[in-house]
Amino acid sequence: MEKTFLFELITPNKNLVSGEFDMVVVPGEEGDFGVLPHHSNLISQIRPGLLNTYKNDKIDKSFFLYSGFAEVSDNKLIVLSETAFDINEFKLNTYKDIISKYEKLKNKTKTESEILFFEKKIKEANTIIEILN
Amino acid sequence: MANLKDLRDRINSVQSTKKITSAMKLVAGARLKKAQTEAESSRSYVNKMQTIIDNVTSNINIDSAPEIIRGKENDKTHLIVLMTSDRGLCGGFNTAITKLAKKKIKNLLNAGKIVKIFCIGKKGLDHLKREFNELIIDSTPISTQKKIDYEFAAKISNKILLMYQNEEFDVAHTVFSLFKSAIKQEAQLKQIIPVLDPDKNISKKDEKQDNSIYEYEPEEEEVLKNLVPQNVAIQIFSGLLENAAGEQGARMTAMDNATRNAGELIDTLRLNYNRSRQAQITKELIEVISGAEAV
Repeated sequence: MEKTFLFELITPNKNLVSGEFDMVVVPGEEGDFGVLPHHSNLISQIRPGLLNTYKNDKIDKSFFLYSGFAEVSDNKLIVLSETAFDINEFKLNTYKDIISKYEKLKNKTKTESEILFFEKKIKEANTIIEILN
Repeated sequence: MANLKDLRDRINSVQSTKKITSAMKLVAGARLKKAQTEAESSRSYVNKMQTIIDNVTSNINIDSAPEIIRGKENDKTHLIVLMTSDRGLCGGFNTAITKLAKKKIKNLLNAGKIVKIFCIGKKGLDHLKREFNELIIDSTPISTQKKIDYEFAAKISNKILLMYQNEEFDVAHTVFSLFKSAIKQEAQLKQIIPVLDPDKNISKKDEKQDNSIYEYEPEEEEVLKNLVPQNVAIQIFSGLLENAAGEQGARMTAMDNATRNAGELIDTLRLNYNRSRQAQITKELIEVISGAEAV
């Protein structure tokens, strides 16, 4: 029996990861869950949190996911996420800048849909800072 | 015969046009490569999203599903999200997209539906303004964006979803051009709201009979509720990227043709120019000779 399985992390812009791993721990909506080879079929929503990939019992890479979906089928784990990045790329200041940028934009606009959108973005950046800092 | 100076001016002007078109061709070629990779990398996300949605929808009871999935009882108001480019000079690219949109709009109007149009990209707005000005509810240009990013698409989808919540429309379609290759783009019409297309639904159900069973976390309905808005955003995003790649491809082909035509035109003009020059020399010689003979 194979000891690894295929894991792909896909964002709208690019495929962040595609490779064989021993285990992947996914931040599911109802709690973290580990995926090992031959996991049963599952579709889960993702809550903001860290996704860890394991190779030879060690953490290989860690990613931050804000939202998205994970699908396990045919010994494959596919994670779709709108906001996902390697935690090594995280810089506090960029997100602080993002918050102030959206605050400014929010104060300028008057349309309801844009205000909602910017509020969502600010909340997202705040959550990212909260979890990773 | 045209006078020599006119011909010379004409040749010069065609030559400078040729320079511009060949430069545009090169620029489009360079941009195409980038746009193409972007469009292709977004496809895996779109396809995967579609599989998940198909899986979920085949596993739930359609009748109890929320309206955004199975559709409302009556589909009176239709929204057409028309995606075109901001710039012209790209052959029949925008015309093909707007033609498809116009056909759909006319069909809907003939069937007695109310149509609303949302234009993304200036060209589509220009094309439709004359015929359907009163139907256009909103429009946004693309070129204000430095780069087409997911955020731009998310903003638009947010707007559309809000309109759906406020019951401003019942069914939404996107019209865009699918990038097949640099010389081939195909205008496409895609239903984004509701998720289930009644026409396709029947055939799909038969295929899904042997589908594997999934566990859901949280419940199916909950997952679906969150899948749908993301799906709308990604559909718009991928449409925009496909369009961007198609636009560059179409421009490259159009400019290649233009450059070739300019070359041909220059050859003909130059032939004419040389002929008239020789004719003039001959005429002058005859004048000199006959003048000398007369003396």
